[in-house]
Amino acid sequence: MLLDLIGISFKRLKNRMVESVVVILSLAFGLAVVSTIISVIFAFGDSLNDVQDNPWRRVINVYPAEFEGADYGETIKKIGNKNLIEGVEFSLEDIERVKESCPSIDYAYIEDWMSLYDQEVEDENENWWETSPAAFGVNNDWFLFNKKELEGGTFFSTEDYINGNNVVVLGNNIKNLLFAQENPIGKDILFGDKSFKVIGYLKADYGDSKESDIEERKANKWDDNNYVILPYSYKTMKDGTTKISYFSLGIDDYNNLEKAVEEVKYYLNSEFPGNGLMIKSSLDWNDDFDNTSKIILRIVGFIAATALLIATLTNLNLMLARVTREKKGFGISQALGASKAIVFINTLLDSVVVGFVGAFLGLLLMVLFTIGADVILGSAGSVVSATLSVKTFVINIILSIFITSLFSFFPALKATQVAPSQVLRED
Amino acid sequence: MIKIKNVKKSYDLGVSVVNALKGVDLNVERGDFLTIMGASGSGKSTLLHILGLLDLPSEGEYLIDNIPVQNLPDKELARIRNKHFGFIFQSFNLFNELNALENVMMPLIYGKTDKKDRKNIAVDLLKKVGLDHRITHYPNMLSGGEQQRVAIARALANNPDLILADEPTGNLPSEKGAEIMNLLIELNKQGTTIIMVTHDDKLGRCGNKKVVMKDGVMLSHELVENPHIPEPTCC
Repeated sequence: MLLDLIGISFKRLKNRMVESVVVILSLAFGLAVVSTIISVIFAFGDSLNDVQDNPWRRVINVYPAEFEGADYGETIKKIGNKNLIEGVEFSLEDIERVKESCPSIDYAYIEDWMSLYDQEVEDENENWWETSPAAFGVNNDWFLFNKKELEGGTFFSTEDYINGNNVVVLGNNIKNLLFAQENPIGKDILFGDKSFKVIGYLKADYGDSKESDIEERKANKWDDNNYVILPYSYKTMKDGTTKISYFSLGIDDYNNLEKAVEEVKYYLNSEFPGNGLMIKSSLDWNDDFDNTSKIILRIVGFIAATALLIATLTNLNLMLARVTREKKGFGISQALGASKAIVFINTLLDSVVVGFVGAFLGLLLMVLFTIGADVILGSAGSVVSATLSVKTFVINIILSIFITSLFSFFPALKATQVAPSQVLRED
Repeated sequence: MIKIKNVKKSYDLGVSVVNALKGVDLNVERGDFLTIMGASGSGKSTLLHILGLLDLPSEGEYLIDNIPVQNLPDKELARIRNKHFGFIFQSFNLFNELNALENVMMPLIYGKTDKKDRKNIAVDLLKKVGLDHRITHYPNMLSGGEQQRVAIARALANNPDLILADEPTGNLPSEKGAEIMNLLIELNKQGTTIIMVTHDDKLGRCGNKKVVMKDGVMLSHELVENPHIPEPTCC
């Protein structure tokens, strides 16, 4: 009997084409919007998990309180101006000791722009200094933490660090630009009037970048592959200063981050009391992100809930109106031998059939919307991509069943309350 | 077959109570063709609905084959309506979204008749009422007389013991009305009990028993002069 009743419900759907289309479209649209939002939220979560493996998520930065709020540009300006911030009193040995004293720390490294080829540039407000492009001072842990591999030559020796020798390791692309197919090892490059000997060059490292992105990266002087890398001590020697502006600590396993931060804070506060050091990691960023994402999720959730509520209420209203309009049909059914239970199932099926068609259309729309959202996110340069998953399909189906039940149950209940003797005498 | 004793029916309208039936006694035997007559508001339709188990009496007793039925659960009442009763209404009350064949099959679906038998039964019944050439037609493609014949075929679907007809010719022109009456008379001849509500004196004489209602009270309950089954031509 159920199959026959479903068949009749489809016939009724066809018979009430305009009304059915309104219900189906509102349901499909509401479901598609919500499912797409859910897809993006899931993708957001997945992306976050992915970036946990990114090196920057596994770094703890240590710098003086005065740096708080300074961005790279300001930092470079001060270094370029040979005017390092007062109160920073770290030496290479200090940094090494942090690593030794904090068991969770795997790397302690320095990375800083080097002022090799300064050029004065005047802007509207003041004179300022721009450093030579992409010259980077590091220690050996920097290579290790960033998993840099040599294609040729060697990394820096202890001698190079101690003496601040004029030696460089080149990024792969800058090496190709300067030397093409030639072997650069032992050759000299010039920064202004300063000469540096090439002792090594790195393997190309473009990660999972697409072909078009690789070309873009090659043209970007701030890309790793265009770095000219020097021993950090070159700067301390040549500048006549022994201060290190800030340093970074790295770990291999993101899960150790919280513990590592605690260890570093404890060690630095006891070794350098009263220095107002800032110790920042991606955990701080996480807090900011958590707060931001909570707000976004609330807004998005409100939009989604509103869309669904409107769809549900529209459908509920239409179904209730239909029950009122077609109450005579329920009376006839009862006269022909349908029990109230059958009338309930029959009316429920009418809505469920509409819900089923709406949900199916909603799934198709969801696929389209998700592809659209992915394109929009991609063009906005977001690391997050909206992707379809079994999870979103399952949620869509569960949602459609839930909503359909909501707008089906009450009309069906109302249909059973129709007294056949009342409606059939209204001839 | 059917016996009602001192049946009363009142409707609470909030501001007032309407007493539609004020104590009605009635016996319907197998093979009877009972007509219920009366003016509008006399209670004849209320009585028919109670007899057809579409409504329950507020007071009194309703017996089918000496078994009280008014306290039966809804499912059982529905089963009795489906298996033992057939309804014919003034405005036909067909399902517009279903064709003639599907309309006739509806009581068979509710009665859980085998799928393969349903179609055969429905086609035979439509043939019986002279509509075998209209089985795929929808109600809006049929004339009033044809629609009422589909309704009669539907009422006969489960081979009922009793047909309850509420002004079955009320919406039809006289010649079509006569056709329908002839069909009912023929069914009665074949043994189906019929209870018909009408306000037409001529149609009221088509049965072998006649009840006249007024203000919820049975004014008269008499045998029609000619105790035999009336001739179809009488109408």
